[in-house]
Amino acid sequence: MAGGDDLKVLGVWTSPFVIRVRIVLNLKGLAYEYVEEDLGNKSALLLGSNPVNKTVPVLLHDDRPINESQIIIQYIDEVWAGPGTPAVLPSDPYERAAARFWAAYVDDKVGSAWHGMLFRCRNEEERADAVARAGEALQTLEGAFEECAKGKPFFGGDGVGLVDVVLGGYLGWFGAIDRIIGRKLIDPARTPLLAAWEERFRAADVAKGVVPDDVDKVLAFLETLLAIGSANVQILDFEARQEIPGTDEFKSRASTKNAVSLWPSLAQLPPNRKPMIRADQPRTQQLRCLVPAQPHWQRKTTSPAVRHGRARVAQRVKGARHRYVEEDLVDRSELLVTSNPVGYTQEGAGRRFEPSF
Amino acid sequence: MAGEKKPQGLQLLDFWVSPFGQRCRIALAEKNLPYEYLEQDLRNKSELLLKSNPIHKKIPVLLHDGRPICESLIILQYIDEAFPSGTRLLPAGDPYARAQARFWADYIDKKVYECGTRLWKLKGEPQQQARAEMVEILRTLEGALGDGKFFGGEAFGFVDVALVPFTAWFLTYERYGEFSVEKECPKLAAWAKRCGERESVAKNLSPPEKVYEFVGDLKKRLGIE
Repeated sequence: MAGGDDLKVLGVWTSPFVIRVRIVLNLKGLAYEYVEEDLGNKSALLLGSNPVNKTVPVLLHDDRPINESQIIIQYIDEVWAGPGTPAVLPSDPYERAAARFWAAYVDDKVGSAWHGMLFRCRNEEERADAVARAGEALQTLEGAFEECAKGKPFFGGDGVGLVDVVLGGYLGWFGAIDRIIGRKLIDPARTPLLAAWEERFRAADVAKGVVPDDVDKVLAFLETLLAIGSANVQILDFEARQEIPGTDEFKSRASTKNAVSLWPSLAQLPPNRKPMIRADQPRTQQLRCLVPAQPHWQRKTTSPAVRHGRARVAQRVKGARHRYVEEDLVDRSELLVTSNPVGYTQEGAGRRFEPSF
Repeated sequence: MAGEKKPQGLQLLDFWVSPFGQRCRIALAEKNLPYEYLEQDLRNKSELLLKSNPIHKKIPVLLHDGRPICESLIILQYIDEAFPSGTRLLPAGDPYARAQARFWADYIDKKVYECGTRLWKLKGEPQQQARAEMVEILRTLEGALGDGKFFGGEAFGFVDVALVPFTAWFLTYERYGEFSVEKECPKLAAWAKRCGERESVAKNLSPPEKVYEFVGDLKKRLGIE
């Protein structure tokens, strides 16, 4: 690209957040280098460009990184603007606010349901709950579409706009979900406007080659993600260490039975926290299990306080072997922070949601 | 409702202690925009609130000549774009700086309030976890601040407005989490003080003791102790 802007996108081909950025680059007619990231082994460039979230997409413009998909889109819209260039956001401040509102809504409600349907659900009942939530959100968006489009083909009017690309990014995954649940998530009976919009969007030039349409491929990719990110973890043994007063040594008191009562979070395995699992070398399925040390808890018995607890945890994904690494929760290691490729943020508090993906 | 409509017809539906509402109040003050403040009863939501924000039913909502704008950061950008003369919250003409500012405001939105809520709501190990996370969040923000006077550099701007209302909550976080912002993040503490000297901030932040009292009352009402 001699003489032009140097544009690079770090991404994952199925990520709704990456796809939307690529659609906007297509819309603006911009050439860019696309780099596919391995979520189980993130590149130094990715980690260096997005040290806070360590997620895709990252846009590098002349080597300067811009992170967070909706922020990237607005950046592109502002830099490449002018007569003859299609705009992603309208020029009127009130309409811009409306577009931002609905784009935020999509990522908040549809995004969290999408995450629930595919990655977070532990059984079919939970998946059905997430599907229902997605359905409700789509119902609301049906009304929003009517309001925003006013008879035109897209949320953005004659051409695709912010809300179109934000929602459109999920369509690759929706195809996979349609197969899993045995019906169209965007149901033509319940949300006819959106169903028609979906067809139009998939057929749009800017979406070609970027919105995945091979459902088998997407489902196969889902399997790899789940293998990286999830775990069926069981406590093998638990070691409580007690200081021997007057020395620097510890006495070891192993007690698997007490492990759960002392460390209930491990048994519950809240998905957004410890332990974090990472597939270090996917081929050999070597997994490192990272478990934080808890220097502050105390046993509620008459015994003297135990100062440290560690648990050895088994990774039950396809009989993989594990190795234990002790973690200090306050001063986290690089490994801990770079792991957890399919991480979750907290739902609730109604804040905008973007999974680390 | 006697009396004339305020110039430019701005009204803010808000709740006194809300940091998200305070962002809007500070932005309106920075821009010298007169507006009508309408305190909302969140346990008995008004017709106007429900009509203006039917999707989320939350404050703040800015009404401009009767048209609602929701979500505090969206409101800030609207104010900046609809009233472009005078102070700019987001730096004009510098898309990269704007992207940086939006990134940090988004980070603040995703992390501070949610973690802070866990800090005062929970106990034991989950509270320890929240405390550790809060310290890390504040350290990260301090890193973004660097040696600058404000987050955007010399000028008080978008990220500062997004974060400063939470400084009124630092006391609450410190007491429940048993840590000191001053000790963990001295530069951030200094920044908070600097912001507090601005009229727009001083007039619109809740006194920290009042926030602490509010959280205590809220816990009692929620039956948490």
